[in-house]
Amino acid sequence: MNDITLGRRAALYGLVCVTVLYSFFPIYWMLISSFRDDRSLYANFSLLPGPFSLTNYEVLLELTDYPTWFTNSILVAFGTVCITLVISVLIAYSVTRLQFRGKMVVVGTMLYAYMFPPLLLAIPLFSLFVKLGLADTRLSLMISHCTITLPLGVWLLWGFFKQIPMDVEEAAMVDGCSRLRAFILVVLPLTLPGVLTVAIFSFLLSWTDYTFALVMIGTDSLKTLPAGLDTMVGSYELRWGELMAGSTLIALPLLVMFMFLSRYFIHGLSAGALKG
Amino acid sequence: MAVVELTGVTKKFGDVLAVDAVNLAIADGEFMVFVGPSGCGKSTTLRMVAGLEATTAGTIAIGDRDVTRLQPKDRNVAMVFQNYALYAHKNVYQNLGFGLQVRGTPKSEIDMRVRRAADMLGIEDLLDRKPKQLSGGQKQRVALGRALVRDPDVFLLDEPLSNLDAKMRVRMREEIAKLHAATGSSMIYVTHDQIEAMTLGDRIAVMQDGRVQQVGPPLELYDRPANVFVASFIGSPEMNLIEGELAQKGKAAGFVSGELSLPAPAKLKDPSNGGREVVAGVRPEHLAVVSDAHAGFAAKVDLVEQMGAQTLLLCSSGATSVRALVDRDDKVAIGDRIRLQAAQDNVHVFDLGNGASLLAG
Ligand SMILES: Nc1ncnc2c1ncn2[C@@H]1O[C@H](COP(=O)(O)OP(=O)(O)OP(=O)(O)O)[C@@H](O)[C@H]1O
Ligand SMILES: [Mg+2]
Repeated sequence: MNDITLGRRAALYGLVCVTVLYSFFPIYWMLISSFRDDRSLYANFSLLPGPFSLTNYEVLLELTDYPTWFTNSILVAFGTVCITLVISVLIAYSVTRLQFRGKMVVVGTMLYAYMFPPLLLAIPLFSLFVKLGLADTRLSLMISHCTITLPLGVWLLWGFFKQIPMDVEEAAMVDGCSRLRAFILVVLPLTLPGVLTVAIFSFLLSWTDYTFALVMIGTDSLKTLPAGLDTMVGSYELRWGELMAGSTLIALPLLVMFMFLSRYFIHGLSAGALKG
Repeated sequence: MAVVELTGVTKKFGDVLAVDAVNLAIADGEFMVFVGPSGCGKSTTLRMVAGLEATTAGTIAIGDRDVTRLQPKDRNVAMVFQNYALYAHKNVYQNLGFGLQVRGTPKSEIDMRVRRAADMLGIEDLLDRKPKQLSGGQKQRVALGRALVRDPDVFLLDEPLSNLDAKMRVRMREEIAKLHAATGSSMIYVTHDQIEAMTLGDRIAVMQDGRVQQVGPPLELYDRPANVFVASFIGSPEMNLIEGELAQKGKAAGFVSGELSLPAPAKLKDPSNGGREVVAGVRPEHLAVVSDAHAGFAAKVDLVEQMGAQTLLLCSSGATSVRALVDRDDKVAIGDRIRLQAAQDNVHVFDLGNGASLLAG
């Protein structure tokens, strides 16, 4: 009996280790490569870190447009998060609380849009932006990202709002709140994990997006990080060291975010619409 | 002085007429109970008083203000919900103080009122806990406390005890009664439990199909039900209702149905109505077993339920079955032939068609 559980445990741990190794090796490699200088990158390298050098980072930050791209990425990601939160909270809340014709059609249509591959959306969207005079702007990129983050946000938050009993909100209204105030003081705090989950999802998506960034932005100074790094590939030579440093810096904010918010994120995933 | 006055209050959900022209005045300090079967419109009526549901027609006044079109926050009412509806992200102290806080009450005053309410309800030790760390009874106390701190014009309670177990329900019932006595506030209490209604209410409004069937003090409803519905709803076990006809004047029995006979009540509106088809009602506790072979009517015992102090007999007289609740009787057995008798004043007579009582006053 004990042996079986022990065996099972060992197998489980083994499996977890393999998975972790498999997913983390590229990240590990990226990290240690970014801290090597050119010579040790291509010759007699080892799996262990070192020799340590910051040249890649210096070159990246001083000689390329990297800081501009970083700023662009931040702007676009935050813009996407804000637009997504405001609109998806409004839609999800009204769908759960108000009675109106065709509200299920709204949700259904949004989910349908979510199933399109980004590239399929990107091209018609681009021609739309051209007509609107928005082409090649950061705003157009934010709007493009919202085509994916909004359906997901509405869907997730819809699950959260459904779980908040109507009478809690009504209690707040009888207690002296207007509907808006009841929403802000009672409903939003109760759905905070959901709201944060949507924020993280949107940030991740916008921050790591390559397809839309490639299609929407032509001007170098407006590019976001993934598209910007791409211009470094193959223009004159493959500069692996700087690319690795650039990728590491892209991953950094994600890591920080996860450290602080993973608690909510996981809770959000298990408690929200994904569960039931 | 009426604190709450409902005039022609009506609510339609699409084609469903949930509340039908309710007229009702609740006096200052009165404990009014709405009672009735599921779906009769009790909650909807209460929610219209709270402002959580808009009225389709009619007006609602609280104090001397017409509140029909006011938002819940402007009505100065407090409500206790069936599922407690506590704010899960706030602790007990913050739950109690929330209503005062959003109204901009000074911190020191909030603190004083919260502690006073907590003291009244015996929840001083729970002030730091979150709702999910509380038992059902404790949650309901907090919900009551949240209403209590506000000092509202009227308390609205929608089946506040129905999620509690039987023992806790009795305890909280007593506490609510005490609370009402201590605060002297007006309360409207919704329940489908007629025992809660009888024990708590100064007056009871019995509702059915969106209409108020009768309003009055508990014992008045028990003694003089206005119609068949109220008669069967109030009182436990349920009143025996027997279809039959009024006998001709001069006969000893006033009401007959096959072999079953009952004396006609003296207060019958129109005693000359011999031969009229009616429904007679007599409560099980008003039927007594008699040994006199000429008194009352004959019945056969079909089932005996021993309840401790009392014995419930299910009997049949011809095709009619009647229940009698008598003092404890260890000897009675199934199949026994007995005679049952009711006093004249304990017999009710209702119209066969519309069910209205045919007794005067
Ligand atoms: N939001 C709504 N939409 C449509 N119909 C409703 C709505 N709320 C209530 N009703 C209907 O109105 C009628 C009265 O409902 P209400 O909730 O007032 O009953 P109740 O007396 O409180 O019953 P219960 O004892 O089961 O709580 C019912 O027929 C119900 O189906
Ligand atoms: Mg109800």
